[in-house]
Amino acid sequence: MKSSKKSVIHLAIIGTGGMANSHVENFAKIPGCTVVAAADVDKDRVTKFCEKHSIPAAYTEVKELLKRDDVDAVSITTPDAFHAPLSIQCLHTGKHVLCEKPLAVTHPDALKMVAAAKKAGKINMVNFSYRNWPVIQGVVRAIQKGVIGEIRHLEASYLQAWLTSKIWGDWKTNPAWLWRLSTSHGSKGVLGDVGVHILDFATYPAGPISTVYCKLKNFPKAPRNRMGEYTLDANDSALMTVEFKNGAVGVIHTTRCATGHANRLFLQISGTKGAVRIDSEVSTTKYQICSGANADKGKWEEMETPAVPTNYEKFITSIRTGKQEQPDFARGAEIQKILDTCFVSDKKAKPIKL
Amino acid sequence: MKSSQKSNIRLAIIGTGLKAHSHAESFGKIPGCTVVAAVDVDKDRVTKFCEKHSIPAAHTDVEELLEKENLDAVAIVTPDSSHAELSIQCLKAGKHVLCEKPLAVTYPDALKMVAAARKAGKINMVNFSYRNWPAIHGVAQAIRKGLIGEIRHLEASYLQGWLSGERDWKKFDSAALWRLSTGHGSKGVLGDLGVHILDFATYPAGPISTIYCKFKNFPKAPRNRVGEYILDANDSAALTVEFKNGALGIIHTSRYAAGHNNRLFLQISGTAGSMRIDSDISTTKYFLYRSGKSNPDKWDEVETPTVPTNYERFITGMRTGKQELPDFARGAEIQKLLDTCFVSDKKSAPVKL
Repeated sequence: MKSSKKSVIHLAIIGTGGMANSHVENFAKIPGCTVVAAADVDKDRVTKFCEKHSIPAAYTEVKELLKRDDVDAVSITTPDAFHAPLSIQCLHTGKHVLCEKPLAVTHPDALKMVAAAKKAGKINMVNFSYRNWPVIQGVVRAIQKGVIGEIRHLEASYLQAWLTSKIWGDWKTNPAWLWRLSTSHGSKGVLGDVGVHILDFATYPAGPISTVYCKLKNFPKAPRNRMGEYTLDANDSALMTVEFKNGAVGVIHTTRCATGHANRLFLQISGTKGAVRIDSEVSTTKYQICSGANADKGKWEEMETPAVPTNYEKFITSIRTGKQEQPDFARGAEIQKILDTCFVSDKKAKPIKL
Repeated sequence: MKSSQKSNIRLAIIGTGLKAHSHAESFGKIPGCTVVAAVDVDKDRVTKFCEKHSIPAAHTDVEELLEKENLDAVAIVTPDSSHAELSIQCLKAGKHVLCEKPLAVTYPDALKMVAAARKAGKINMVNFSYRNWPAIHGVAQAIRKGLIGEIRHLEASYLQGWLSGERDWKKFDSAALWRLSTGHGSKGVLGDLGVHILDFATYPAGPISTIYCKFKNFPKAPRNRVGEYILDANDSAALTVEFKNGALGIIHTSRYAAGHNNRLFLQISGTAGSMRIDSDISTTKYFLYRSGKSNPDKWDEVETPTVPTNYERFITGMRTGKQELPDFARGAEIQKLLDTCFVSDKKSAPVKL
């Protein structure tokens, strides 16, 4: 039995909401791992989830689940507020942890998670899902090779349209959208929801940010800005002027009001020798590059990038090899620090050094 | 003689550098106006300029020009620092004035120009050249009509790439070098291009209420010097702004944007849709996406009718007596934004307008 345990990694999913489905589906595609259990406080939901995905064991208590020695690793897909306590609890019992983004609700919480992972010596990853796009890995490699020289100017945006169109249905009648508009329901607005992605997307290739100025905005959208139990007070737009440690300057912005862009990530990084660009509406496997002799002609070329392992695959590989892959909890904590700093900057109405 | 003078507008060009040629050429295409004189402190330059454009009279002194020539109007194409003084001098002498951008070097100077124009009762315009693009007028009109509802989010950029790539500083001439040096009167990329993109953004979206601006001067030549030029002007400017109507915006400009020779981009999103101009694609078409459109995967292309150029509007303004835009007051508004950017960068704080 021992050898079979080693060769087949046993996983459990904690939290069985929308995102949990894609975790199960992704793990199912990876040879040598099986989802053996799921847990959720909502008994009905976890039962249905386990039936749907043919998962043998359903739990309503994480403590009970963690008693199982045959569970090697967990995927945490609960609401954000539970990421930190659950991750730490699972690490303490010796489980490897893949945690949904954002890693935590605050940077101090994220640091506790990093410390717990280090102490446990277990594999830890945060699911920055756009790392699964080959194109961002290609851009990182190109910049590391010096193809665009020293970075000077950066522009990054994550644009959605569901507040000003019905591209994803009517937000006014769907709790899946309504909670995202309400701080008392745990939302940190567009910044917490998709800002986390664009900050990783920008700083993964361009390096760390040294100063952030951030302006957040909540727009009126319903009478008395309420829909039933939901007070619609979370930020709908987040705009930043940032400076990088390498001396470059950048603008980073995200909004839910960009009609015409259902879900678009854009990144353009310009340096002393050229520029690179990703536009997810154009491609997530190809990036545009203008460098070398082309820089003086203003000519862009398309670069195809090879497939990359997903975060799910990297998590499983790490467990097998014992070598921690990225993005890990420490990376999640770095992004969390920028998010926290954005809120401080907005509140104080001034740029903040990191 | 009176009627011929009335029907034929007599112009002079003040300052005969690079940009003056496009003034001479543009006025040359407009019926009923003639460039009758030009002036420059550099005698050689003004002589050659007049020869090239068949302008009868060359002067080296503005006072002399205003005294001797029977002029209706002047176009001021001198270095920025003399725009205010010369405009005011010409207005006092009863001339209509078209002034190159930026209107002045500071907002207080710009306000003096506005006051002088008002007092003189003469036509006054600032040459924000991208107003000659039909697309920007199409967007401004569509927004006024409420096509995209209340404005929520704006993104505007003016990107050039001439500082990126393998640069041989020995080959840079004074026309490029002065733009990199505050000691030679440059206000950097913000003064050069920022003025355009600020007009481009606020013409359709309305006035800005708060600006946070960060400048960056990047190391480029050894000891950041080329001969007499200290390369200390801003090369990138990155702004986060709030509009009076409640919208937020990102506005940025750089000379390090390899792959973009000269690109203006504007995207404005509102409660009922979005509009976009990308000058790399078109300056006569804009892109429109209205919420709930029937083909949700595609933005619509909207062709816009030709518009009169600033030069044509200046001449029309004189004929009709009706002031056209962009006038000095508009130039002063933009100047105020520029000044505020410098204050914000210096204080490292957002500044209210």
